[in-house]
Amino acid sequence: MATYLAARLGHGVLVTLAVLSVAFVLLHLAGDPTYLLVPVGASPEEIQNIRHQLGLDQPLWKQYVNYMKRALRGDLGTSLRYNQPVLGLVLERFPATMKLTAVALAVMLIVAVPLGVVSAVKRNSAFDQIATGLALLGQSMPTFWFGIVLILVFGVSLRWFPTSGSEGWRALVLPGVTLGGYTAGLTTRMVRSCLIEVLGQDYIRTARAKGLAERMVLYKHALRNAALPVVTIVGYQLSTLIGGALVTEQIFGYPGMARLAVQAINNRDFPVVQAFVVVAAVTVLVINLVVDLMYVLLDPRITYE
Amino acid sequence: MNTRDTAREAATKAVKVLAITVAALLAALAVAGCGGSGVSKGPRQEIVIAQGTDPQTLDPHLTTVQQALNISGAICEPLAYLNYKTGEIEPLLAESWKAITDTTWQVKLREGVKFTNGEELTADAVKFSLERIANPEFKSPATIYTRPIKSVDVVDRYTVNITTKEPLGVMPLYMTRVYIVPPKYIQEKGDENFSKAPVGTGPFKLVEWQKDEKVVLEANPDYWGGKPTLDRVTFRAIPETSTRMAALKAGEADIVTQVSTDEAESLSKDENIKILPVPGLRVMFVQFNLTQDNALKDRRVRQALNYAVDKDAIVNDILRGYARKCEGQPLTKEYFGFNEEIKAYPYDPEKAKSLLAEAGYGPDNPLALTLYAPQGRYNQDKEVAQVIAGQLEAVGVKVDLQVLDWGLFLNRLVAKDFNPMAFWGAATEPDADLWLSGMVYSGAAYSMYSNPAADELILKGSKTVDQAERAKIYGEVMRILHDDAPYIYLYQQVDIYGVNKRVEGWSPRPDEQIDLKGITVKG
Amino acid sequence: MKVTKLRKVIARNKKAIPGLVLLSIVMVAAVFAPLLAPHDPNEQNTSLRLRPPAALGGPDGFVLGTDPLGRDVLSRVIYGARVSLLVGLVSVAIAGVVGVVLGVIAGYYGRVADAIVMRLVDFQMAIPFLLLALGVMAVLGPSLRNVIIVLALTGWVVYARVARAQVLAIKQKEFVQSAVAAGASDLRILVRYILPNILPPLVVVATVEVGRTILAEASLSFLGLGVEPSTPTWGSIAADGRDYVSLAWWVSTVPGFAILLTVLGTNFLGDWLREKFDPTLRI
Repeated sequence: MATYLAARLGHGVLVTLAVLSVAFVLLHLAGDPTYLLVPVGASPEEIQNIRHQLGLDQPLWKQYVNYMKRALRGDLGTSLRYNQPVLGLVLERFPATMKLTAVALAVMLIVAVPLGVVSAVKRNSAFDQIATGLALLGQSMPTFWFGIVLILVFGVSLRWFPTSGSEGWRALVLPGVTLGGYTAGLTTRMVRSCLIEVLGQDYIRTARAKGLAERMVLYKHALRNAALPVVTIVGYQLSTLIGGALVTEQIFGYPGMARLAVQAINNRDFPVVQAFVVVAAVTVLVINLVVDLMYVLLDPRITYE
Repeated sequence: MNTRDTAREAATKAVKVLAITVAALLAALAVAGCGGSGVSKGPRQEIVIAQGTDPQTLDPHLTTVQQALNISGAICEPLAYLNYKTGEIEPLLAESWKAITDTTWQVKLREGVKFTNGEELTADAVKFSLERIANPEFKSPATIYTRPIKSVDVVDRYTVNITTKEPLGVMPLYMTRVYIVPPKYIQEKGDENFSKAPVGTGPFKLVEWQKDEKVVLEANPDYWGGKPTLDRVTFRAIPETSTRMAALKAGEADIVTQVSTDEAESLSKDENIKILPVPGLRVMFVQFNLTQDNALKDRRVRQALNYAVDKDAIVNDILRGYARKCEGQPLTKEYFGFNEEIKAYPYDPEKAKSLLAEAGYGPDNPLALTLYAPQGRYNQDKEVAQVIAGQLEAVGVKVDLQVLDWGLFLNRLVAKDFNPMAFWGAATEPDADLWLSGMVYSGAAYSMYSNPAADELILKGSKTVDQAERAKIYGEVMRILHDDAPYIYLYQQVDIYGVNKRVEGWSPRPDEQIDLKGITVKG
Repeated sequence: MKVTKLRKVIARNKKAIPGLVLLSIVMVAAVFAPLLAPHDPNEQNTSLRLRPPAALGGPDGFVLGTDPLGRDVLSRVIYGARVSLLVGLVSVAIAGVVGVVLGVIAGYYGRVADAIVMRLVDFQMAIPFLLLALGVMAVLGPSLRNVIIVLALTGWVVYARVARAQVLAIKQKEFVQSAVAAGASDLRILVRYILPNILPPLVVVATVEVGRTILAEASLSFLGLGVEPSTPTWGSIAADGRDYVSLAWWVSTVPGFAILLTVLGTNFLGDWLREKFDPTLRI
């Protein structure tokens, strides 16, 4: 297990560096940031000057080597806009994003697991049909549309929750529901279909035949075996939540990492985007590792050597 | 059979659990609702202003973004103030100024003004501030205001001489844009700390800045102009237009910027909200790239395109009247140098067709053009771009419309990498010199046009100090630009603000600056 | 005789009907758009902006109202079916094939193959969607093809992970182990024993992904990185209408409803397929 973890760590560092490199190339293909920094009327010399100071007049490979050298020393650079070290800018928004992600995940699990389990057990009942309908509705609404509708209903008409921002727990409810609602749809259906499949398996029949209490069959055998693909999906959803909160953060004016990244991409503030990429990459790698370790917990037959 | 019944039982139980959970959640929501709706709105002199973006810095020397300057400009002040109601440039930190030679302006400072850290405002602070902006190491985007300056000399404790390289007629206007910062404070704390927690001479002090959430300011009780009427001002950043409007409707924000033209009408029906439109300085146009070889080299084609676009339909239908048609020239009447005698190209598709035919284009040989446009940058920009494309198609031009995000668009624009035309808008300080030297003068940053006659006049105008003479020179430039048509002149954008009716004593300015002085909150 | 046979087929596949009906509606709209649409989807009428559906007092001839440029919402949504379906199906097909192949290789062969594929997955998931979209659009320019490329690039991961997890579990089962012991070739084991057993959850994922992809296209439009404005897609119509939700709900809700129908259809079909595929589920 220790060697496995060490290998994963090594791979993780490599993946992070690879991601950073691709981000570097993609960003530089997406355009020169100089023009967004200079005011109307700047002379060509001034533009050239700024470009020189930023090192953008050097060949791309040289810029890349310089950047990676500094990155390996832990220096990800200074924002072109904020004039502050970029890692700090991203990390100070990390807790806000994690908070929103946690709320979204909680919403998703609270909705998806009970709905999925009950629909699977009471298959084809009216409850199942309604739950499936709700799940599909969640899956088919554009996030921005759902978010705006929630704001108009619960923020403006009913005034139960603030329309935007992140002050206090009430501000987290609407963005959390927006973000969790979509993922809840997929997860509900996943829980349902996996559980149905498991319930049809031989060992469940055996367990029933042995006269085990139905609750025991459901919780001890069926749910446990259905958990494997569900954990995969939840892990996948979680990493999409982190990178993909950008629409939600934008709609709700939520001060998270993704909104910073969107702004930075629009401003071509490369160092900020790269720092965001590093933080997002590390987070996703950690989540994937946790998901893989959970396989072992859930299914003793799976081992990592 | 038996097993299935038990399964059903287990499921029924699960449904009950679920029902209880949902009920508990709903109850929690309801409790939360009761707690929240009763935000007390006494006569406390506090307002919340919601803008589209959060400042990236509170250092007024490190940004030219007006939304950021609205905040740092309440903390730090410039030398002079442009009063839009009178059109006059009024003293602020400077008590008076005059040109003592062709190229030297002498500025007398107000005495006894203190920064909120206790530092006194002196001539040294002015010299420090101007040199700070001009320092290339500092990478200020505001160098346009210091570029013409040759030297800044301290004459005495409260007097400073600013010498320019050439005679500079717009100097007083520049003085309204250069913020004076405290030298000792910055030397002690460093630039980075200043950009997070600036101090200044202004009517407000910084309380806290939660990034992307809010900036809170409180009144400076020792302000040289007397304690401001407001005790507290909170600036919030809400990028999405619908959400910003929702904050206004929900009473969470008192002043919101950039109200959409479609929303303005429905908001004005809300009994708690007033809509304040103000014609802005931003002029919208389609710019032709004449640095490249294309069909637009032919002046008849450029004029034809001007006739082909129905400006009135765009202004009245798409923008619901929240725009003002341009009068066939790049400047509007707010700008110094506007020529009142020139009128807009009328909407005349027949004339457009015949001019195109003269230039050799017709149904068998249609003119094909690509139109670039940004989205999310200007009022209804994507819609207007599509309407322009549609109207050009109506006179037989094949239009390939490329709508890009602002970053991609601006990159192409500054690299002059669009062929042959782009829809966008520009605003400068309201003086022809600034607009023309950035947008029209051959080789300038955003100029894609070259006309020696115009260049000569522009150069002459910038060196002329006599204002009547300058007005005449720019009037001639407008005439050239009308006839030669290097743009399709469209309209002047109207900025719309939504304001809660409890806020009194505030009116918007065409330059998007938000003046906090004199605002009061009704009980 | 033939009729009774047909009846039998229908009776046996009753569950497929709702899905097939819904998808047929969408398909018909897509194929016969020029015949069905009452207006040119790009015909502007600036004096008829944001008018409500005819039944709610809007102008005659605009059954589902008009958009911010006075274009007919119904016609745009009918034409939008073409592009949105194309985007959804093509990117899901590409992503699905790539993802399943990689996931099966990783799960079955393990060790180096697994490590490489899983790091590729980590790598792909760690690149933010927007960054990838922006990079591709900046280099290749905004177009339908490039939208499909972006969506396929971001979509394959979920198949790879699910396929791998399934293979890991099924590999241990007796029937696979005994096939290995009997000396069956890898290809035979994969195709005969493993693939049929891992397909059900993958089919569910794929049906869900069609909807997700259509929605992701909407997110791209929301962020200004979608298809050209002259190409109507459900996503871009909904994204353009988002500023008008409180003023003109129909602009964004009608394409949203079209997306809902499609998602419902693909999911019904997915459920039916899953039951067909998996014999253990026939009770």
